Amino acid sequence: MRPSAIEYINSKQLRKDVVDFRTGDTVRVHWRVKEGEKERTQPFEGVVIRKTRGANAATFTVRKVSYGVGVERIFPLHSPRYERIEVLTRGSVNRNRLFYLRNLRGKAARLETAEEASGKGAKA
Amino acid sequence: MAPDRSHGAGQRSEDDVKGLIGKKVGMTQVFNDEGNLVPVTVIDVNTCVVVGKRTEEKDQYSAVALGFGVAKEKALTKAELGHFKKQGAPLRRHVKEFRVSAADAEAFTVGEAVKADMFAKGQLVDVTGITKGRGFTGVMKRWNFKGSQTKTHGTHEYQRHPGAIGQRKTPGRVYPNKKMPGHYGVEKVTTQNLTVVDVDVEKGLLLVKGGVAGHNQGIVYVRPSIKVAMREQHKAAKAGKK
Repeated sequence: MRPSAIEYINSKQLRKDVVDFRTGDTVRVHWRVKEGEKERTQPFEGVVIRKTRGANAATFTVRKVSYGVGVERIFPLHSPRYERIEVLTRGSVNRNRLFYLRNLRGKAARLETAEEASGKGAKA
Repeated sequence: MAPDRSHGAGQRSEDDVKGLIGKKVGMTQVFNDEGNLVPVTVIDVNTCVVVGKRTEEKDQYSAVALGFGVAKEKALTKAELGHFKKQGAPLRRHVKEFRVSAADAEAFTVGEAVKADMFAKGQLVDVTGITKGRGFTGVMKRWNFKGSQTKTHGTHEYQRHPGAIGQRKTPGRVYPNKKMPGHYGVEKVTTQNLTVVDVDVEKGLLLVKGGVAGHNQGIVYVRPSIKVAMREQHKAAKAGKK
């Protein structure tokens, strides 16, 4: 059991506006970037391939393919450094961690969205 | 395993050696002001009170004695009880003196709690603790020896051994302080220049960046960084010369 003092510190760190998303979802993270004095937001868009748990230290990994090169970024879920997270599409996947996407390119790397998956079920 | 030099009190500047007694609660991670996740050790300084004072007139040096950890009367010896009762201070399990200048000592009154706000966010501190006991250990764990460099070519039951411990007829003996297996841990270790990430006066918590010697629930001493104090002393001395 963790001491309550640590739980208290962790709970103070949590962001209250964390949006609900799962692995397989396509998200856009509006990350704040400091350039000298100025601050601007830099969106990072891609598929969530991993979510780790752990109170204030929870993270998620977003993967995108940029100019043919796979790019993955790990964001702390409760980081004060992002403005917001937009969920663009809900994915339908059969894995908790989508590392298999790393070995796939182009059309094969696409994911079925939740809507497509439910539509398919209705037809059958 | 840095040798303990904390009792070289004569080398310390007499001012501002004050400190706190605390309990290591454990480690976690917090976001700092830049929004980066940093590892911190949480130190609980509740129940830290002044239990006595040493004065120049009476004791030839000036210090405050702090107590930590509520103690029951039956848990203390009569000698200990006598000290607390004479001072009119609450009973505490752990007691330690911290050297402070006579002027600084005035800010402390016996029986009064010492709060975490002694330290400010961003300040550098030295934290002393007793390391975890590891029992009788071999040279690889205790002294970071490399061990056997091959597991084959006839090496048999020798992977974690120290190898040779000396030369031949000259000197014909093993040098003193030769690193060998033995008891490891349960020693006083001070980690210097840890940044105070956050101070929670209300809850009596101190968050310092990085690890601190000892197990959770262990007693630690937090003092202002001696290196910073020395640097300032040098600066002041230089400025004085000019």
